[in-house]
Amino acid sequence: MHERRRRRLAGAARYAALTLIFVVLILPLYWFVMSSFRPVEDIFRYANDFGIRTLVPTRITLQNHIAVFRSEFTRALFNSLFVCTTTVALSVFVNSMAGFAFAVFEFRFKNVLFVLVLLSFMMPFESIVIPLYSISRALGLVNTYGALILPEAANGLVIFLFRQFFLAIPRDIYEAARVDGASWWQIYLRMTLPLSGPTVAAASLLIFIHQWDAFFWPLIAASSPELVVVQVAVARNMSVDQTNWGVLFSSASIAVAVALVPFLLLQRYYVRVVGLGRT
Amino acid sequence: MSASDGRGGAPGLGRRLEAWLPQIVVSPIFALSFFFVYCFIGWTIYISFTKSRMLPVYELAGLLQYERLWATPRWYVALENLFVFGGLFIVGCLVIGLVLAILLDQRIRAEGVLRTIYLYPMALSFIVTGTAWKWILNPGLGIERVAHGLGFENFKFDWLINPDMAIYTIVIAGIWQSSGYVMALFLAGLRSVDDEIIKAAAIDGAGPLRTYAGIVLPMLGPVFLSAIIILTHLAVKSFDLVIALTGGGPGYATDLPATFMYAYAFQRSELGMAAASAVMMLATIMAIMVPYLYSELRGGNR
Repeated sequence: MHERRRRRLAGAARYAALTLIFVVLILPLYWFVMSSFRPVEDIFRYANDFGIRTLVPTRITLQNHIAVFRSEFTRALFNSLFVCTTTVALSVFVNSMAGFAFAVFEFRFKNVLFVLVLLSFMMPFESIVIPLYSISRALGLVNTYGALILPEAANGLVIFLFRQFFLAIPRDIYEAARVDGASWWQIYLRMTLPLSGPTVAAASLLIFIHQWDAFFWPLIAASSPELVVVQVAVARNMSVDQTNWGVLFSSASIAVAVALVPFLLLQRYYVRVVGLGRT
Repeated sequence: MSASDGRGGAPGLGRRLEAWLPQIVVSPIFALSFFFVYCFIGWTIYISFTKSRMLPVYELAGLLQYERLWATPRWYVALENLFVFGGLFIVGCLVIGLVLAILLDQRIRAEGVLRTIYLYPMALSFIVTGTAWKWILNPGLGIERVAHGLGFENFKFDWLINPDMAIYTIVIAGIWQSSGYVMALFLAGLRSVDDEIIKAAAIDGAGPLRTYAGIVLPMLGPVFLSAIIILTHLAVKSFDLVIALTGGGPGYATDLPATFMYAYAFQRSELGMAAASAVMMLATIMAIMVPYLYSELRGGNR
């Protein structure tokens, strides 16, 4: 009896805690997205007399979103989508090949090279940004897509994920294909890469989000209005003294919405591949 | 493409290329990481020993920039903030992440949905998180106003504009964003703990608290380490969050080394001093990473 009551109490407490956390995590986003659909004059009106109208809009409008799409934000959306998809394609290709090489081939200094490559991606970006900017300027890359894409092409974590996956494939398969006369290129492209679907999905998500969220480097390397990216555009909406909250909220909501699409589609692969749990 | 193409034409050349294949495949990545990272770090270190201001100059000037850096009050504020923010952020994420993971580990319904919700802040940028919390914590517009509306007239919450407290708003927003990820790390770790061990402890009369504190947590050692590494990395580069939430202000009260470095390199044209601050950041990261990597590599090849 006593044991059962205690267990039920613990269960209730657990769900209460989970619900509380749920509210804390979801409410800011909900409030934010909901407010972007309100007329500007309504956004802060109902905070004073807190009630149902604080959380449920009485008047819905698209005026904020229309204003956002008429601003430089449309350009930013296009730029970010272009930069992200290009980076994903390039980065999956380059890093999976490197992962394949580190997993399958034997060559001198392999382990040392691998550690050096991994370590290089743990260095703080601040310690390379000054030379990176100087070089980009010298090469005329500042304010081009190249400056946004190329430095992000190589990614240590992605190399690591691919290496782990390719290591798990029995070596006999490679040997058998070699005996049958397949070139390494064919083995990589037609045998192992198709097997690595979940890793490709997880890596793509990782790279997409990383690039979509990028702020520091684009702020420095792509400051012209033609090359503005999403996060910089959102930040610009608030850095002016008089923040237009409606426009700020709707631009930020759009930035979240676009990132949520690949997240919701691919997160189960990410969770599995990165080892965060079962799907 | 059939199995014979690409090999029929010049078998001699093809063979020789194949023999070099590993090097050919690895070299672009290696060149990228070596050139872009290690050479650039070397370059940054070199610049930190010169008089560079707006443009890099290459005449050595000894420790001048480091002396200037350590004579700048703003640098001390940034460093102090890094320790306050970094410490509270890491401990906060670890505690909240661990508690969440233990709660979720108890065979709960709709676990997949819940995990998605806890992970979703991962898809938010620090800029967006900063924007949301800038509003929530804004004295005139956010929770202070809601509390006044609810009748708590004396409720005061001005951390965002209070120079002494503003750094804690960054801690709050950072923990909000990152603890879900830490939870997922711990959850995966808890799942790998053998249920039999927990049952055996229960049979021996250990309560849930003692079971976790005495048996399960020590087994999660490696998870703690990787969580601390990931969080340290986030803490050092939380540039975006500061810019979005406080812009480094009021004044420079919420400056972190990253924003300090940005301001000196790209706004004040003090490349040498900025490089010196970047070297200090690098040293901080290395002090944490090197022992970790050493223990990882000694533990096994994989």
